[in-house]
Amino acid sequence: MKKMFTLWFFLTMMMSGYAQTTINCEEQLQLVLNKVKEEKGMSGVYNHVNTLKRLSGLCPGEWLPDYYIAYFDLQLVLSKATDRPADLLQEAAEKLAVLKSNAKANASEVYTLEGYYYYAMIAQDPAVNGQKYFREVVAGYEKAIRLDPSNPRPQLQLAIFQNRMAAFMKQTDNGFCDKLQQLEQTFRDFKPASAVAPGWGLPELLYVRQNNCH
Amino acid sequence: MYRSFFLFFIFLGMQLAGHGQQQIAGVVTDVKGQPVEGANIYITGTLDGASSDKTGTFSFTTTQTGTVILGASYVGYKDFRLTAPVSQMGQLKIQLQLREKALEEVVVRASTFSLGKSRTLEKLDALDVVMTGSSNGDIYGALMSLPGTQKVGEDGKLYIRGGDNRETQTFVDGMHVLSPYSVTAQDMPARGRFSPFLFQGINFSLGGYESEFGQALSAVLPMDTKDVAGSTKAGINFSPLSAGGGGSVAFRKSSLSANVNVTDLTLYNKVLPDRYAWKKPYQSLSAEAQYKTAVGTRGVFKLYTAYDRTAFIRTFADTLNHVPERDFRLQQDNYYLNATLKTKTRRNTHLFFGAAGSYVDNRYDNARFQHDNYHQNEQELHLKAKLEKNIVPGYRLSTGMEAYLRGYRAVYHDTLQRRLQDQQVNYQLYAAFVDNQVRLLPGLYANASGRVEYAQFSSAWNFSPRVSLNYLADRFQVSAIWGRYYQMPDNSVLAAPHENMQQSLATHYILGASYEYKGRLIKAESYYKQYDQLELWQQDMYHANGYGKSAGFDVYFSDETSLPRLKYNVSYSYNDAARLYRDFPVMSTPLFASRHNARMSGKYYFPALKTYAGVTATYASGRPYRDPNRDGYINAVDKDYFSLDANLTFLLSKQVILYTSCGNITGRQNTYGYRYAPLPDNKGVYQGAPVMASRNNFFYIGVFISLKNSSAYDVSSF
Repeated sequence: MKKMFTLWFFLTMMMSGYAQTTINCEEQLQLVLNKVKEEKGMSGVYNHVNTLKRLSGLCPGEWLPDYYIAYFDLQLVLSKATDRPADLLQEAAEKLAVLKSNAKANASEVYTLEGYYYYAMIAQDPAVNGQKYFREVVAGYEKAIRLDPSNPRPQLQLAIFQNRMAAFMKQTDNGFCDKLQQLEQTFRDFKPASAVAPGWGLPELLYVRQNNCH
Repeated sequence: MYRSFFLFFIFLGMQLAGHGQQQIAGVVTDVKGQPVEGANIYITGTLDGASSDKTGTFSFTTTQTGTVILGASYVGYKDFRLTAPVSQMGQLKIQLQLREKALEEVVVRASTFSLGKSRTLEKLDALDVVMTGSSNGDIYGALMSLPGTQKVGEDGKLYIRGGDNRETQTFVDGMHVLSPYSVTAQDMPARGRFSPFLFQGINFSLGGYESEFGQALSAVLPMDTKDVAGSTKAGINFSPLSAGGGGSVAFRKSSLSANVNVTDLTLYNKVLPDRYAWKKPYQSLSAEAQYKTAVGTRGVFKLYTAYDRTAFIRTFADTLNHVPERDFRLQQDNYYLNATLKTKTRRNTHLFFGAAGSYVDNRYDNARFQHDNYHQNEQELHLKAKLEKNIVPGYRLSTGMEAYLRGYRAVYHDTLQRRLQDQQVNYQLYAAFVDNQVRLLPGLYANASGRVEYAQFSSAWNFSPRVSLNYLADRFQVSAIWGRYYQMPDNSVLAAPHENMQQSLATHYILGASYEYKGRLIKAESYYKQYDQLELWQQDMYHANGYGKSAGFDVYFSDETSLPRLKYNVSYSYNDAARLYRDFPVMSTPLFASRHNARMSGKYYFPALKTYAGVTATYASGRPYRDPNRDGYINAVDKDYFSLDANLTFLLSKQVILYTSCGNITGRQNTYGYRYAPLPDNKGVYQGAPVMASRNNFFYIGVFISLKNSSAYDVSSF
C-alpha cells in the first residue's frame, strides 16, 4: 500500500507540473507553424501569433518564437489583413529589439527581418516614409547578406525592393528576372538549420517571377 | 494487494478526472468599454489560451484545475492578471488599462526640437536638414529656421533666446565639441564642421536642459552619430566650389567610414565676386573618419576623428581705423577626436564612457598691420562616465561625472617681431550630476536634478539645481522648468587681466505647452532668463560683476499632413534682452538681439519632376547698435532683416542627385548694425559703415554620385 501511495504521489507531481516542464519548444513551434500554413487567409494568423507569444513565455532565451511573432506581424501589415497596423509594427519593433540582444539568434535572419520591418514602414505611407527609411531597408538586407551570403531571403527581399524602387522612379531594373532565376537555385540549395528555422521566401519568389518575368 | 491496486486506480482516476477540460470565456475591453481585438488571453505557464475577436470575446478550454493565474495582454496596454479558481472563469469581463510609457520613452517637447531618432525606431531624415531652404546643407543653417533663434547674418552662428553664440554648446555622442564652426573671414557666415549625414539624431534644446549638459548658459545641441553601418558604400560629390568623396566599409559587427572634402572659392569668386579682395581665396580641407563596432549584443563602441585646415589671404584696408592696406592671412588647423562606449548590463543598467579631445590652432599674419602676426591655440579634453537605470517602474536615475581640461594661449608679435602679448591660461573643471525622473501620477512626470562643479580656475564650487514638471497627455503637453546653468567665461577673458572671476550664471524659467494632432504640432513657450556673474570690464580688468536678463516667447506651428507631399512650419519669436557685460557702461540690449523674429519654411516633393523644393522666409526686426554721433550707449536700431532662401534637389537617377540652393533670392541688402571709427574726424563726426555680409546672395550647385550600383539616392558617406 505504501508503494502504491508513493507511485500515486509521483504521478500527481508529474501531472501537475506537466504543462510547465514538458513543453518541447521546437515541437510546439512546429505545430503552430503547421497551423499557420493551414490558414487559408492572413486574417486568422494573428491567433497563432498569440500562441507564439505564449510559447515565447514558456521558452525563455529561444529566439525563434520571437522571430516568428515579428515576421507574422509584418506579414499581416504588408498583406493589409489587419486594421491595426501601428500596433503590429510596434510589436514587431519590440521583438526586433529583443532578438538583437539575443546571442542565440541567427543574426542574418534578424537583420533580414529588420529590413523587412522598415519595408513595412514604407508600405504604410510610401510618399512620406520612402525617403525616411529606404536606407534602412537596404542596409538591413545587405548586412544580412554579409552575415550569411548563402541566406536567400535577404537577397530576394533586396532584389524585390530595388525593383520596386526603380518602378517608383519610373526606371527599369533590367537584371531583375535573371536575379530571381539565380535566387531560385539559392533557395533550393539553402538548408535550414532545423525544421522550424526560417525557410520562407521561395513561394514569394515564384509569385513575383510569374508576375514580372515573361 | 488487490485492495491496494483498487485504491491506487481510484486515486489515479480522481486525478485524471481533475484534468478534464474546463472552458474559460469572456470579453476584453479597454477603459472606455470598447472591445479590444487581438488580445492574448492565457493561463500563465501553459500554452492554453486564445485571442479576442472583433467584439472582444474569447473562449478556450484548459486542462488546468484549481486556482490558476489568467493573463491578458495587448500592445500598449498593461498586462492583466487574475488569480482565481479556473471553475470561476466561465464569464470573464477583462478591462485593459493603457500602459504608461516607460520613463526612457517619455519625450518632453518643451524647449526641445528633435530632428532625428534618439531612442526609438522612429526618425526623420538628415535630408530634412539639407532640404530646409535656409540651410545650404548646414545643420546650424537648418536650425535657424526654428523659433528661439536669432538672425546674426554676419557670423552665421546660433544665438538662442537673447544669448550669445558661445552660450550654445554642441555635443557629439554626448561629448563636447570645442570648435563646432568653420573659421571664416570677417563678416562671412560660418558653417558647422559636421555633415548632417553623420547623425541619426539631432536634439536641439533651447533651455532648461538636463543637468548632464553643463557649461552652456543658453542652449545645447546634442547630436548622435549613426550606428554601425549596415552596407558598404561609396560616393563622390563636386560643385564649383568643392569636391569630395567618401564611404563606408561594413564588416560583420563593425564598420569604418571616411570622408574627405576640399573647398576652394577661387573659381566661385571669379564667376560671382563678393565685396572683398582676395589674394588667396578661402580654401579648406576637411577629413573625417569613424570606426564603429558592436560590443557583445548590448554595446557599441564609436571612434570618430576629424581634421580641418582652412586658409585664405584677404587684402583690405581698415579705413575707419586708419590702418593701411594689408594682406590679412589666416590659417586654422582643427583636430577633433571622440571615443565613446555605450553598453547595457544584464540588469538593464545603461553605461556610458566617453573621451573627446579638441585642438584648434589659429595663425593670423598681417593681423592688424602688414608684417605683424597673432597666434592663438586652444585645446580641451573632455571625459565623461554616466549610468542610467530604471530603479522601479516609475523612477529612472541617471548619474555621472565629467571633467574638462582646457588650455589657451595667444601670442602677438608686432611688425618688428617683438612679442607684445603672450597670454595663456590652463584650468580644469570637474562635475558630477544626478538626474531623477519620476512618474508622480499617470501622465504627470517630475524631474529633479542637480549638478555640482568645481572650477579649478576660481577654486569655487557651484551647484546647479533643475526642476521640471511635465504633464503629458496623448496629444497635449504642458511643462514648467526651472534650472540654473553655469559656464566658464571665454578663454580670451580668462587670459586677460581679471579679478575675482567666477563662472557666469543663467537661471531659466520656462513655461510651455504643445498640442499634436495627426502630424500637426503647435507649440507655445514663454521664458525668462536671469544672467549673473557675467564678465564686465571695469577699471582695466574683468570682474564677474555683469548681469542681465532675457525674456520672451516663441510660437511654432508645423504641419506634415494637410497637403500631400508638403511639410511646412511657421514660427514667431519675441525677445527682450538687456545686459551689463563686457565693455558696456550701462545695461543695454546686446548687439546680436533682435526683438521680433519670424520664419516660414516649407518642403515639397514634385513626383513628376522627381524634385524636392525647400523654401524658407526669415524676418527679423532691426538689431541695435551704437552710434557715437548720438547720445547714449546702444542708441540706434538698424533696418529690418529679410531673406528668402530656397533649394531644389533633383533625383537625376538612382545614383545621381543634383542639389541647388540660393540664399537671399530677392537680393535685399541686409545690414547688421554699423561700425564706427574710434575717433571723430576733423568735423567732429564719427565715420561709420554698415556691417554687411561679404555677398548678398549665395548660389550653390552640387552633384552627388553614389558609386555603388545597389544603393540609390544616398549622399551619405556614413
